[in-house]
Amino acid sequence: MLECKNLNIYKEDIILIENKSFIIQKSEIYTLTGMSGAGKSTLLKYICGIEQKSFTYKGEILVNQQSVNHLPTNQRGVRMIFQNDLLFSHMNVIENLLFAMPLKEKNNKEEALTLLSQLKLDHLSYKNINTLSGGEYSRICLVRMIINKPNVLLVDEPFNNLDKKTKNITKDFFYKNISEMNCATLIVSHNLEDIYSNDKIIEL
Amino acid sequence: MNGLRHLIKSNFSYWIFLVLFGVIALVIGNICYQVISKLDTHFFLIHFNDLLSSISITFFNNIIATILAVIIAFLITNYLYNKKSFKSSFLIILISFPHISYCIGIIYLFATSGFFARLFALFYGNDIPFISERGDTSSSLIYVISLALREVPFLVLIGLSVLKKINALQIQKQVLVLGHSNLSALLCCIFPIWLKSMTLPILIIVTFCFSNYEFSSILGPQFPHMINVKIIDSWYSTNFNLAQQMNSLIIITILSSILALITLYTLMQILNGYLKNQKFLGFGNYNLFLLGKIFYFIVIALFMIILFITSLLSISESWFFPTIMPSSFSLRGFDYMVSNYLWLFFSSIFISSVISILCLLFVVILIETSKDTKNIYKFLFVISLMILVMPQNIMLISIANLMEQLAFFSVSLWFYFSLFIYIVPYTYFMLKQSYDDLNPQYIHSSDILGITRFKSFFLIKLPMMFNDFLLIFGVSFSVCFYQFLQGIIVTKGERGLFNNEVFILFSGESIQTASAGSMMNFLPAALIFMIISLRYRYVRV
Repeated sequence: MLECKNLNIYKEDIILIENKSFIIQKSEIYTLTGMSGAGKSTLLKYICGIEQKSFTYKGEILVNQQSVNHLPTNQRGVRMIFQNDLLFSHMNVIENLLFAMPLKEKNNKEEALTLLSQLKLDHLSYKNINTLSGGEYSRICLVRMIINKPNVLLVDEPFNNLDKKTKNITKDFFYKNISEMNCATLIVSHNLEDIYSNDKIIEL
Repeated sequence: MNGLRHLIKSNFSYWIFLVLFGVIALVIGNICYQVISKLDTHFFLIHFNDLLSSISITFFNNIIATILAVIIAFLITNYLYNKKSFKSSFLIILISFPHISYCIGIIYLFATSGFFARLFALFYGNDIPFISERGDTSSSLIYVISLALREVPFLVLIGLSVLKKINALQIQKQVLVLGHSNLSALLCCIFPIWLKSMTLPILIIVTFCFSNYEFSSILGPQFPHMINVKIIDSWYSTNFNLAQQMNSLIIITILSSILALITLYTLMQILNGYLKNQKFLGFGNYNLFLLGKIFYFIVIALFMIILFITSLLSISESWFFPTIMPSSFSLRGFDYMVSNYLWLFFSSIFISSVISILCLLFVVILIETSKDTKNIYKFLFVISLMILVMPQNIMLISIANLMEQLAFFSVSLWFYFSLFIYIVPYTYFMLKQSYDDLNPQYIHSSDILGITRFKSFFLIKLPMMFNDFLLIFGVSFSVCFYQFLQGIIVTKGERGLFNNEVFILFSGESIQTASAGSMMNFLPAALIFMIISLRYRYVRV
């Protein structure tokens, strides 16, 4: 469960987000919408523990009812897919996926291959990252986060680089997997098409 | 201007490429000819008992020094990258520190009446625990550590731009949001990617280790000498057997450096394969960060102590053991240097400046004219790489052999040529980097507006890369000013730079005079970098 209490974000003297509070329970998916520059990505990064120098932040973040404000990113139990997510160039596709597996789990190559095949990406398993197209790259970033089995997931514009047909397949895959994981999810999206009808919306 | 305009417009790149390729082919061909035509002389090797231990000492010392330098450089790079800002001029000044002055400084530090002995004497009196006659093991240890620390500033400066280029901060964030530790980010992701991008600088370091003379002769073990010293001994020797031995040593050096490169490459691959499958549970990279900070201060302290000791020695009239400071001072050493070597000092500055400017001009024309012809551009890269990875002493021996065989042009011209051919690849790689970093959008916009390439260079590229040009000039100047082997090998002592005289002074004249020479040696490059740093100020990371 993710809870944000009285969040305030300022850029110099300009208030971007004022007194925003929300709770996302397990298995709930919220979509965060707003104008460009409203502070959507900044909010996601703050929840994740990545603070930017030019911003001032106030407010409390709770994960599973525990305050995580003082914890570093990797110990907050919050995972995030960035808008410009990065795959590690010295690893191939499958190695990138295996690296993302949770610390307590053993590397399970079969699970990774199954997830890839669901998106018809299994032929890329041993490909170098630099040879992937933009669409393949962003879908593999999604698979990597799914394999990480997060409890709280923040996603910044996940389907941006995809054509309509691929977007639909990827969206189905994504929603199916995160609902199976019972994870609290917050998605940033500009595009109303990307929002599923049963998603709850937070507007900035 | 019209001449330059014509050069940039014409197919100059093809001609330059052919000439450069011809020269390099001649130099490499000469090495092959020298070595193969006297293949039977390699059997002489068995008569020289020390050779096997020389080979193994050279190989292992250089490999260990390189590995140590890379590890320390990464730790320092990581520390500096995570700092908000730091003075890059500081690193550049360390890079511009003359090798000879550095080696002599190290000797003074560890000598029986040196700096450390004096410091220990403060606490233990004359009963100093560590000072003894230097044996081969301690010499090798001092050689390895000194060589590694000397190469660290160069690797750090390049390593920082690599971290910036690979976007290490983003990689770190990415690993953290996957729930892994800072240590995992650093060791499993950033280090392998950094290491891969550092292949060329590491290659340069390995080649330098196998061809340097200063470190091997001043700091390296004496019984037996390292191969680099044996090559120079053979080069000067009138003994027929020793002279013949040189060809074998050339083969051994080339094979050793190739073997070292393969070993390092294999180690890098194994390490890369191991690290990317690991997940470290560490709570942070604080310890590695702290380690980087410690090494950073050790490197700076070492250079500063050496500079301090050398400056004290240059003005000390009498400095008895075990006092920390000299008892009387005089400028006798500087007087001697000024009255005897001022002309050589200024002529060395002049030669280095002219060669650096010529190299810069030459490389600009090469890059400008070859950008559209991809194959030539690639070939230039390969040729420059070949010059860089060829041990310098071997290239110079070949140039000297060519000089004797062709018997035209004066020794001075061959001397300038040997300096030029060595500086060109450095200039090329630095300038190529600047060109690659230049936002292509500016060039595309100027092309769309119909601006000629000539105008585009002077009105767009030159103003945008002016700081880079200055820095490249500074580095080329210092590399050229501190060249040393050209004077020993190509001209056999007939001509040389100020650096050669400093080396000779240390073996003959008083310590005061030699140290004064060493201080003067340090001055020009330091001044140039200080002037450059006034424009540069800080490197933002």
